[in-house]
Amino acid sequence: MSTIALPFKARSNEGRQQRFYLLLAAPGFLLLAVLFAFPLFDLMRLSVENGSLSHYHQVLFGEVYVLVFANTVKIAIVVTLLCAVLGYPVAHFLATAPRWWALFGLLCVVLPFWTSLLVRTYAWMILLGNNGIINRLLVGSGLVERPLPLMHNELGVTIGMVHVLLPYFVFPVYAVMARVDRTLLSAAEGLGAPPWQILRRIYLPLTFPGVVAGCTLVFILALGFFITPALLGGGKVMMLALLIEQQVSQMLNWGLASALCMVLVAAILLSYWAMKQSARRGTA
Amino acid sequence: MTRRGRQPLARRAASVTFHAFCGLIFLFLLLPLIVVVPISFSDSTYLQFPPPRYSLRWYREFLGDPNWLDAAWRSLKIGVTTGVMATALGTLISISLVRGSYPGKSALEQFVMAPIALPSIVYSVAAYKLFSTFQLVGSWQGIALAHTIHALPLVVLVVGSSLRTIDVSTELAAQGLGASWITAVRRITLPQIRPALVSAAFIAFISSFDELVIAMFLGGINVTLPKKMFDSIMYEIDPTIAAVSVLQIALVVIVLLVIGRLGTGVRPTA
Amino acid sequence: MSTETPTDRAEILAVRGARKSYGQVQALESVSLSVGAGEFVTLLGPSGSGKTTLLKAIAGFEDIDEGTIRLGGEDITDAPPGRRNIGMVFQNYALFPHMTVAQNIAFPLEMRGVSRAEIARRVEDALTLVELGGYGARLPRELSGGQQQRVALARATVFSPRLLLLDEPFSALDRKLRENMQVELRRLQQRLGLTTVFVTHDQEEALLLSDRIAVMSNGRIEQLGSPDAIYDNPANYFVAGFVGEANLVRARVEGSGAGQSLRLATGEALAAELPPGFEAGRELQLVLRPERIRWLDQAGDASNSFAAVVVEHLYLGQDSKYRVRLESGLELVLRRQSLGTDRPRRPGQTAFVGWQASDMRIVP
Repeated sequence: MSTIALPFKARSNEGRQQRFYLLLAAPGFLLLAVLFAFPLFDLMRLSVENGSLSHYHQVLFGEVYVLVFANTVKIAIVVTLLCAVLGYPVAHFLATAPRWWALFGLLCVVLPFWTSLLVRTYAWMILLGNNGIINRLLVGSGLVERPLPLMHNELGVTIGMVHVLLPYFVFPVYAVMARVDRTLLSAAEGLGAPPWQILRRIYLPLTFPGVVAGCTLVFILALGFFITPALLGGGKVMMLALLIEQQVSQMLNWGLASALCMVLVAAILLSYWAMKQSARRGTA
Repeated sequence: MTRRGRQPLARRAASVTFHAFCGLIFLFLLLPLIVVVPISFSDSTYLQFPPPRYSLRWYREFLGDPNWLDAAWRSLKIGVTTGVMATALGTLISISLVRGSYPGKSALEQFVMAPIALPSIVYSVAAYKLFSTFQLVGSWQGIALAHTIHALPLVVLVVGSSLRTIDVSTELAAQGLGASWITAVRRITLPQIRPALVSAAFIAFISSFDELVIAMFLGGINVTLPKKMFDSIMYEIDPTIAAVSVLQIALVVIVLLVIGRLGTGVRPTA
Repeated sequence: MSTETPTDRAEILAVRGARKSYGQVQALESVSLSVGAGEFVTLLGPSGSGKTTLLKAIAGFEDIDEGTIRLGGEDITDAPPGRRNIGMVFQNYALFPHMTVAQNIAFPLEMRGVSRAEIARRVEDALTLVELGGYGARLPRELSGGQQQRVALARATVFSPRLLLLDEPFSALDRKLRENMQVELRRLQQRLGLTTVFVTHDQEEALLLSDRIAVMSNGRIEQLGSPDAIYDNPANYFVAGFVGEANLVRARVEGSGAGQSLRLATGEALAAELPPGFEAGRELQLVLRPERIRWLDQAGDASNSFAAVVVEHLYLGQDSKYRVRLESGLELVLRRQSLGTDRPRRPGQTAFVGWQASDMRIVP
């Protein structure tokens, strides 16, 4: 048989297999296209109704909207920082504690994580209210004369949001920490580095990708928060999600609401992009 | 030498501080779950802590109120439907993404993951029009569909990472031994990721069972359990909601135990 | 290069002109290979040589871009893996972790619609054959590495495949166990008369097990032949260096006719037996196995002899390796039995070393 007689073959088995893999994704993909991508596209169209940018003009230059947006970002930043400061040691504990302690710690993080948001928010209302448990203890013990305003303000919203979002920071950081090679730390110690330097020069850089991922996750989720500010804010703390809900159900102003939605989505995309950038720099 | 003598003390102090700090955070995390329990068994009409007397009054209140039961039943239906649909579709997508190597795969992956980052308020506003066109607003099936969209990325995350850990060559070996590709997946691959499938289904279920915003927008007058809880917290705060909360926490604990029994997924990988 | 099967065997596997590339990388460059019934052929080569690609192409897990693969006379180039009736043992065994040993071995029979009773009987036989009777109900993770290996072997052979493929099956085992398993595999293979293609990068393993070896590099078969042919008559520089240890020295042909000799790059003149057709001035490589070089009592005791200084002595137990430096600076490695008649040499000592003209091989 001469070489010329040999047919040039298409990649038969592999090609068939790959087409099949694509087919597997098809039902889910179609569902997402129809029920997810299409509505979002529609929303974008709605926000520039009649080809006018008036809604955006209102959202970006109207004082109320700018204030709410700034407030939302401020709360999200505070919550993210608090989660990082509180969550980093917890993640370290989970990654390094002896087996049963680590399991206990994990339970402490997982159980609230799985518990209904409403249940948790309700519980915080019991704790933080003027007639709540904490204020009763404080007044009862004579530490303060009148109940402290712990709820229906930004403090209450922040406490509630940190409680909800802390696990979202702990999980990615814990995942990275669990993979850190402990001998590196021993090596640094053997080379004479004091604990503070080991943390700063070895541990933090190694776990940095987890911290970035955790912060981004918390920040993005915080931007769109609804339930906690709605209940713990008591109508006195305005955030973007609340404003959107208000525009739709009270003002029936769908155009403005969709423009607000688009601003929120843009902010989320921006923070996601920023994370990609800093993660790249962190590993470079 | 002097340094050496000082260090253990400093280190012990640091260690005590660290553990105390972690202990406080664990307390912070658990505190809300702990306080609702005694409240739910309270005999008092308003929130009193500690309760003056204990009774099952608020549990009876919940179980005897057709509105609560109706909402709970609706949420259960939606949750189970979401769990089944999201797990089925998400598993297919995971297999496709992990095993396949076709052009556009990474774009598809990002697309599938996108709902996780989209606030449910945005999605609710966006989906309302489409759902009302198909007369899905007010129906539990509509909510289940929307919840499936949001649960899909969770399933793909859990099932995908599990698929990545199992040995591809077992699938190849099965094919080499005479199995068709589908048989290999059914007999060899799926049984190996069963724990992840169970976890994914429960995560999808819980994510739907707890979801408020979408259900509020698309539910119309047919309220789900979270919506009913939200209304009751807003307007008639009484310990019934504490009883509901304790039942929910109990449900989660049972689910966690079941997952722990059926496999890994939420436990630390030793 | 010869690709024929030994004449006394019927051809089972025939690969013709197999070509495969991944983008710019040529994984297989027109490979042809023929394996006879009951034959044990090893694909030997470093990583990236294409040996695993070739094995996977035979098994059906990789498509080839060009060429044909025939098994028992039937063209299987496009057949899906499960239709080829080939048993394969994977590098990591690929046992199904959620199935018992017996269920693992039963799997290929089940896929072929064999009756329950028949399956039970054949699984039992297979277990006995690999000396794992009574282990059927265990899970793979409850077995040792060597036992897992045997289960994989039983699973790959229980359905009497036309061909058995093994992909570096011993690489995960420790040395002692590996040697036992090698002998066992060879026995089993001969007893069942299994046509076998074996992949390894371990040349000792290849020499020990094979009827024939195909030495591969850069997607090509460099040489195909029996173990002793490969070792004693390497076809080229690569094979000489890859299979066994060798002193490889550049040399040039001098003179013509019966008086031909070789001159090394370092200046030494050597008596050599050159095949006809080597004209003066031709550059070539000289292959001299370490065990072919001897200590001499005095210069002239061999057709090639040189004064040398011992540079290094490596004690290997049964053998000892020496590195010596000739006056020209050329370094050679010798391998001698430690308990031989030689007196021990120490670094720094001077000695005479030498070899016969017939001890040398030349390769292009």
